Amino acid sequence: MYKLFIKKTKDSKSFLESILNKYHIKNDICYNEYGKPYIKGNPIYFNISHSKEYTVIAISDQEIGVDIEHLTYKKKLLNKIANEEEIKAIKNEHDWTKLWVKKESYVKYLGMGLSYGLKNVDTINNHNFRVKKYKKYYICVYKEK
Amino acid sequence: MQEEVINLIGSTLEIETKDITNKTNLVKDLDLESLDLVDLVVAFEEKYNIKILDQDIKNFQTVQDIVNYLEKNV
Amino acid sequence: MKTANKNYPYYNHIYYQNLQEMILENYNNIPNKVAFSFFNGDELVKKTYKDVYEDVFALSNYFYNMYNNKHIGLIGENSYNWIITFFSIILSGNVCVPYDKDIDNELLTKQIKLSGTKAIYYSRTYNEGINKLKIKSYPLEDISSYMKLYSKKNNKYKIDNDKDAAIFWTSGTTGFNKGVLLSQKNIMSNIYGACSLFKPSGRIVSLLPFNHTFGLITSVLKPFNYGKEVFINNSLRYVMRDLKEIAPETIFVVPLFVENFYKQIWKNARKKNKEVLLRNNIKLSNFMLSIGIDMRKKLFKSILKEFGGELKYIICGGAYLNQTYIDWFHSIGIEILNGYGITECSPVVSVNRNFYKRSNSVGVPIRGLEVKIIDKEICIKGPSVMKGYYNDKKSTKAVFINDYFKTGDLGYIDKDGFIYITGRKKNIIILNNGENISPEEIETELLKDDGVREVIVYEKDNKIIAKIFPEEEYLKDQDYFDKLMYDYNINKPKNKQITMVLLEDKELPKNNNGKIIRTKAIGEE
Repeated sequence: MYKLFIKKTKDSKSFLESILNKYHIKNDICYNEYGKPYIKGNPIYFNISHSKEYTVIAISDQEIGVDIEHLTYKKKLLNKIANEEEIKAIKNEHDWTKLWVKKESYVKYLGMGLSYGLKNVDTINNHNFRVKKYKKYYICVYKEK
Repeated sequence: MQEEVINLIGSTLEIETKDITNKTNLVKDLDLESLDLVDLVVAFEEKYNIKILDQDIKNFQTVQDIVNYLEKNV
Repeated sequence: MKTANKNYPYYNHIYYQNLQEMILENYNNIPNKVAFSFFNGDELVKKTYKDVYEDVFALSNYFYNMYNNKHIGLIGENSYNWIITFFSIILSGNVCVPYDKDIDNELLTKQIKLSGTKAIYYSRTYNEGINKLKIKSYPLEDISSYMKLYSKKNNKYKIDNDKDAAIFWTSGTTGFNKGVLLSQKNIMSNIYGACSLFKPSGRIVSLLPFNHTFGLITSVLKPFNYGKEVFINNSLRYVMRDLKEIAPETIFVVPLFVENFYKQIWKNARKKNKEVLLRNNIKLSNFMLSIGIDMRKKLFKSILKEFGGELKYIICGGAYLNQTYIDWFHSIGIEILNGYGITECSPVVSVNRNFYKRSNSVGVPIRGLEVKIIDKEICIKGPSVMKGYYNDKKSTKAVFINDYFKTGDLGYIDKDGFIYITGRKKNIIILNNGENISPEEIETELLKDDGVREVIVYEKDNKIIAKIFPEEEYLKDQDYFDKLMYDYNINKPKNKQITMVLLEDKELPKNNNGKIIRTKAIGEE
């Protein structure tokens, strides 16, 4: 299970703290070497993403990845990030953006960043992606059952 | 080489280059996201006709890192 | 705790007219299912619904042949035999009078006389001293031999659902023990009414004494009604062991247990140096719950394991329970459903439901019971309300107004039908183990002493306190009154002892008639 929080802000640290504030959990937030937040010794998981003016935070009781991206259509990047089957299905900016957020949410779920290789992310056969549209953005959450 | 790199960064990402130095950190100073990085990587691949591996991307922390990498592989 | 929840329909089940129908129906439908279990030494003994039927059949035959509509006493620790005897006495046309195994012989003799009890069935383990009393007494341990005494099965007692079935003792509002007369109709309609609101799941562990209606009718007969398995704990010493071993989903307790569980949990946390962790986990759990994610089972696994790991519901009644306990246990994954009952109502009046509850409330009335506020007092009417106090028409009359029974509790009902208790009409002190203490009784006795000029007895933090305005020569003589307290306490059970004596150096506040204004006298600390 997870919950998404979306806010028009670039300050993810304050945003996260404001969510936890009500329950006095503020001071327990730690950040690892990649800036990824966690609560010391506690099994709750966060993931943060921003694009332009918006930040999204996903909170869950298990590993989770989230990505938000403004509507974009960078055809040039397709060969780098997608396989043939995926490329064939991209017809417009909506398809492109949805593909991007799926790929990103997965590598963030893994915690490996780009070094995993976006092309290696299978968006066709993997059904754990949850994509949703938010204004001119797409958000994707990746979580395994 | 350094100037070329900085200019390519500027033109690809459509940002100002006057404050970019070799010490500039892509993520911390320029606020670059994954999409920007991939954009840059593809731009560099096209310009210098090389293939940049995914696992190398994490080493591109500063402008200097990119310069070093290109000097080694181009 | 959020209270944005909506009511949902009553649970539907059969209304059994009497105990026999209930026993028979279960015997027909689920004969091999376990009805009761208990430890005999280290051995876990299981009795099925078939066992219950057969044992009651045989034992009621015995009682039918031995007594004709007599009052028969029952005294001892909770046990299977106790339950079978209770059933059998009633189904043989006699009246069962349960007694508190912890009272002294003097009070026991008094109650026996008052209720006209002709014979008493007692547990050898706890009440060997019964032999000294002038009453025919028979050990409960030997019921299997009694069952064999009358081989001719001729129990022809035709059940009258309205006839007296049992007499339960209550401390009542005057501090003097009164015998509450309940018929099978009273008992069965309370079972029906309460079971319509709450359906126990999983196994049940019964922890409360059977001589009280909460312990017997609510924590034993109601699960029995639903064909559940009830484990019988027979000693407070083994509560945690039994909970861990049996792993119940539901238990019925009085506030004292809740408070003790709470203390125990923190004590264990301190021992393992995990106090801070526990505090943080609770904050975390509440936060995650607020965003719809339930991590309680994960976060509090080791604590929940201490209760067997399956505990979902604690039904609590018998005395006031602070809402903070309910909220706290909710944070760790155990729902406490607070309820309200009174022996005279067989006993449950109201209870909070699994998914329909209100903070600080004692719940909604059981099915079939009408609750009305008359002069700020909670009054009830319905088939669960007792027939009356045994042999005490005056007291009985005094507690009824029109057709409503006056509970002696002050309160109100909100627009959703939830009952809230605001105080006691008389000043009975209820300790957190459900025991009623009459402050007037204690005051009367203390006033006999030369040094006491005025006194008021009250409860604070579950302790009994006596505030005394001494006679002139004894003013400020703390030592004298400490000794008085000591002497008073000597022959009293622990929970009825005075904890502290406070001395006043001026008169207690009184009204125009010279009567002490209790609330004022207590409030001025």
